[in-house]
Parts: sequence; structure tokens; C-alpha cells
Amino acid sequence: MCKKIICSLLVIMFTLIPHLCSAQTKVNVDSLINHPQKYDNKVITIEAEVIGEPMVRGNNVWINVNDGTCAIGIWTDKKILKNIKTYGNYHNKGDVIRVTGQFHFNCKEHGGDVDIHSNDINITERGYKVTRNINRKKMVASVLLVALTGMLAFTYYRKVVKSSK
Amino acid sequence: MKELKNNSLKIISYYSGYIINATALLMLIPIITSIFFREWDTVMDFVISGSISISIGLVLILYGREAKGQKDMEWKHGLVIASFSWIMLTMLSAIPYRISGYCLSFLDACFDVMSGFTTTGLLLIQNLDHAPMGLNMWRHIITFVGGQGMVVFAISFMIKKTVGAYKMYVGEGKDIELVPNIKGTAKTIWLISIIYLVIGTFVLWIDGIVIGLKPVSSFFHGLYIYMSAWSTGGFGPMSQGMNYYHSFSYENIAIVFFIVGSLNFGLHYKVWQGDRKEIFKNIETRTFFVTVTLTTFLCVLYVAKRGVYSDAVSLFRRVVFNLLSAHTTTGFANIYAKQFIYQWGEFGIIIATIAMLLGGSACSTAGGFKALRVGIVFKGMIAYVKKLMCPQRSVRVTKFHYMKDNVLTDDIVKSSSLIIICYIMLFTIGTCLGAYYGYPLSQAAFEAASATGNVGLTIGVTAVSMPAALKVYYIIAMYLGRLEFISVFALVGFIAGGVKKLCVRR
Repeated sequence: MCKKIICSLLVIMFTLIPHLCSAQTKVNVDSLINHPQKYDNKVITIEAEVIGEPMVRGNNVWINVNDGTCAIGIWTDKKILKNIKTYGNYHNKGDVIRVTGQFHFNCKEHGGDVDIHSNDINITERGYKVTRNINRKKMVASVLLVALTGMLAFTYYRKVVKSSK
Repeated sequence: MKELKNNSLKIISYYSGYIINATALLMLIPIITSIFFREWDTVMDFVISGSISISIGLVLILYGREAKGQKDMEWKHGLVIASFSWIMLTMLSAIPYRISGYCLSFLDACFDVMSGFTTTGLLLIQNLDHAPMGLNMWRHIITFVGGQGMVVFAISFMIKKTVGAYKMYVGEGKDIELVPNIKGTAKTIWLISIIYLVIGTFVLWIDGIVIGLKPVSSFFHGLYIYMSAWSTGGFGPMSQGMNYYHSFSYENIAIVFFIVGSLNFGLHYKVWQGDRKEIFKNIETRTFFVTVTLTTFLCVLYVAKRGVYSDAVSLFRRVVFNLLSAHTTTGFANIYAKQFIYQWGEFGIIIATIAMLLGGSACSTAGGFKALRVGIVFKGMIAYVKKLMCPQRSVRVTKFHYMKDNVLTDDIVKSSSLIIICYIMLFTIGTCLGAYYGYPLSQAAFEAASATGNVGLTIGVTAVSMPAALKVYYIIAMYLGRLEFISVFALVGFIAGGVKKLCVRR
């Protein structure tokens, strides 16, 4: 009987503990923006792709991230730059990082900016170069249309430009 | 009657073809950009789009070639050419957006293009943070050219003879003559824009490097942000808009250029010629100063009362910047759409809505009612009240200064009032439509004002999930707002007249 009670208590504890650690619950950026009263000045965790490029400001850096719902700026120590290899743009999918930090809907340090201050950033997925194969249909369409434009331009030259001279 | 109609069609076709070709040739710029950045798919997108556009332009020119050099271009032709070529260019310029896959439908692509040409800045493009440089270059070129006007562009560079050029120029919503001939005026507008383009891009490029951007990307960011600021367009290369830079200095530089961009081209020309007093005497700048000060003061007072921002810097960056962006109809935002709701509150939203409707200066890149019309109507009201208070026999002459001293006549007040009434009707219909689709009234009004006034700020209504009817309405609102109604009414009248004649003949 005692063993059963202890086992049940252990199961309940291990089920509840992850929910008690709410700071580690992952949210998306859109939820942060749409529910500021819930998340403002709280420690939250997001997982998002780094985009654009870092902007170093003294000993710190701005890194912008986008998790597919919205983009936001992360203010962090510039030492993190050593770990981030790929930034998302047309040619590349950026590194995906897990950021745990304090969310501000109105950051006093940054003139009212909406941002996350964090020094707990981990790479969860490495970025890569996006392979884009040349679209053959577009290539054929380009050639045909350029040829058509050329014929029309020649007709224009003969009927409009030449006839006016 | 048939011959006359065909003649009109040929005139419209010929000049529309030139305007389309002039603008289509600009697609060479994103092609070169994409080649530089090795975006081969984008190169093909623009080759396809450019070929289709130039082909259509050439067909129109060939059909209307008998109209070349004809001197009987009437006002209706000029107005219809302006409005028709804008519609054609919107659809043709949407092709690269659609075939690139960054817009989910052709309607969304047309929405983005109309937003660019009208220097609005609302957008439906997807995945902007991974968009090719070529497509971003095109987005900003169309906003820069749209701000000056495609007709102005074509008159400056493509159309050799200026027969009827003035009528097309007016059809695009401008009427100022900087120099005696219209081709000279068009070229002067471009000269002013290009000189500021060089200065603005350079300043933003340097500041971009200072705030941490790499030199090459700083140059392109500077170029795009300048093009958007000067044309009061509001586009940016990244999905976060001005928030991407997290920089007070970058925002301040943008403020300078978007305010300058919202001023009358005539005023720029006068100041360049040394007449700096015009800035203080001009009814438009005075009205603009009063309305900007009043709306900014009210908004700052209210948001400060709500205790949202604790310091002056935050208030300036998050309230003044966005209010100025609204009033100049730029559309740059350094706050998220939802922050208007949570932080500005209903009163702040109303003030922003009014600011967006009031707009910038006439004959500038800005939208809205225009400060000149607001000043004229206000002065007209005061003059009317004074007239009522005075003895019947007394004759009062009211004057206003706009580039020179002018007499304020009933006709001037009437024409200004009519255009303002048209804007208000357009805004009201947009608000009602937004409310019909379930958006809260203040948000529907905010978004309608943004589209009607060619502003570009969004409170969250503009989204891919928005009803198609609302997208279509906003496209029409942006188009009507930019061309200031008359040329579009002329186009509708021309088409209706043609259909009526066809029906009568049958």
C-alpha cells in the first residue's frame, strides 16, 4: 500500500514538474505580441531562425529571428556570434536557435522596443544553403517571350520609327 | 462617330504603350541586381515579366501609331491614358511577384504592386526575410517611380514630343508647373528626386555601417529605406520594417527624408532657387505644420496619460515617429500592428486615422486630402463666416499664398471641398466594409484611412486571410486616392460611353 502511494506521488510529481517550470515553455513570437499582458517582463522561451545579419553595438549584439509567425529582435552578448554560422536570407536557411530570456513589450533600455534580452541561446538546428534548381519551364518561357518581344520590336522599328524618318 | 472613337482609342493606346514600355524597361534593374547576387530564378521571373510587358506596350503603340504627333489630344485622353496605364502596369508588374511564389495569388500580387505604385506600403508578400534582392529592388523601384509618377517618368525620358503631355501629367494627380514646358517640369521633378536619392542613400549607408550592418547590405538597406522614405511609400526590405534596425539614429534620418518627401515639388524648386521664405508663407506648409503639431500633441498627451512609455525618448520613438509617418502618409512603423491597439488605445487610433486622412502636400509623393485643400477649405470657411458678419454691400477679397499670392474664389474652395468629400466617401465605404467583415470599427476605420490616404500603416486588418472583397476594395481605394479620382472617373466614363455606343448600334 505504502509503495503504491509513493509510486503514484512520484508519477504525479514528474508529470507536474515540467508544467511548473513555465519559464521553459516554448511560445511563438506572435503569441508574445498578441498577449503582452501575459508575457511582458516574463522569462520565456522561443525557437526561431536567425535572419538578416547581426548588428554589433559595443559588447552586445542585435540578432533578429523569425519563427514563421513573426520576427523579433534579441539583445544578447556578442560572444554568441561565434556559435551562429548561417543567417537566413534568399540563399540560406538560417540556424535555428532556442532563446530563453526576458520579453519586453516596451523595453526601457531600448526606447520602447519590443525585444527579448537573453544570454541563454542554444543552436537547435544548423542552417544550410538552399538548393534552387533552374526551372526549365521558366527558361523555355523566357526564351520564347524574348523572341516574341524581339519580333514586335522589329515590327515597331519598321512601322513606327522608320516610317517617321 | 466610329472614326472619332477609334481615333480616341488610338491616342490612348499609343501613349499608354509608351508609358508601359518606359516602366517595363525599369525591370532591367532587378535583372542586373539578381545577376549580381546570383538569383537565377529571379532573373528569369523578370525576363518573363519584362518581355510580356514590353510586348503589350509595343502592341498598343503599333495599334495606335496613327495617333503619333496628333495635336487633337483632349483632356479626356490625357486622363484616361494616366488611369488606364496605371491599371495595365499594376497587372504587368504583379507577374514577377506571382511567378516567384512570394505572393500566394495574383490578387495578392496586384495588391502589393498597387500598394507600391501608389506609395501606400500595405503588403501581402510572404516570407519577405528570404525574398531575393531582385524582387526587393523591384518593390522599392515601383514605389520610387510611383511616387513621382509613371506618366512623369515617361514624359521625362521616353516621349519625345510633348503634344498632350500636360493633360496626361494632370491625369496623374499633379498640376504644378515648375518651368514653362511640361517635359522640363517632369525632368526637374526627377532631378530633385535623384539628387536627394544620392544624398539620402549615402547618409543611410554610412549610418547603417555605424549601427552594425555590413557595407554592401548597408548600401542596399539605405537605398531601399531612402526610396521608401522619399516616396512616402513605407516599404522595407525586411518583415519587421523599421524595427529591424533597432536604431534611433536610423529612424531620425528616415524622419527627415520622409518629411522632405511629403513636401510639394514646387516648394523644393523654390527653395533651391533661393526663395526660403516660401516655406513660411506657403498656406500648405503652414496648414501642415498646424495639423502635425496638433495631432502629435494630442497623441503624445494621451499615450503618456496611459503610462505606456516612461521616458521622452520612448514617447518620441514609438509615438511621434509613427504619428509623423501617418501624417506624411509614409507608413514606416517601428511598432507592431497590435501595439496600436494595446498601447495607443481608441483615442490614439482615432488621432492616427485623422492624421492619415489629412495627409501631406499636394504635388508631392504624399497622399490624403492634402494640406493645401485643408488650408483652402478652412480659410474658405472663415471667409464665409466673415462675409455673413459683414454688411451686405461690403466686398471682401480673401487671399492665400501658394507659390504666389492667389485670390480665394468660391470655385477654388468648391473644387478642394469636392475632392475632400470624395476621399471621405471612399474612407467611409472602406470602414463600413471592414466592419461588415467583422473587424472592430476603429480598426476598420484605421485600415480604410491607411488605404485611402496611401499611408501603409496597418493595425492588423491587412493580411493574406483578409476577405478577397476587402483586398479588391483596398486596391481600388489606393488607386483612386493616388490619382485623386478625376482620371479614374474619366476612364469609367470613357468605357461606359463606349459600351453605350456599342449597345445603341446593335
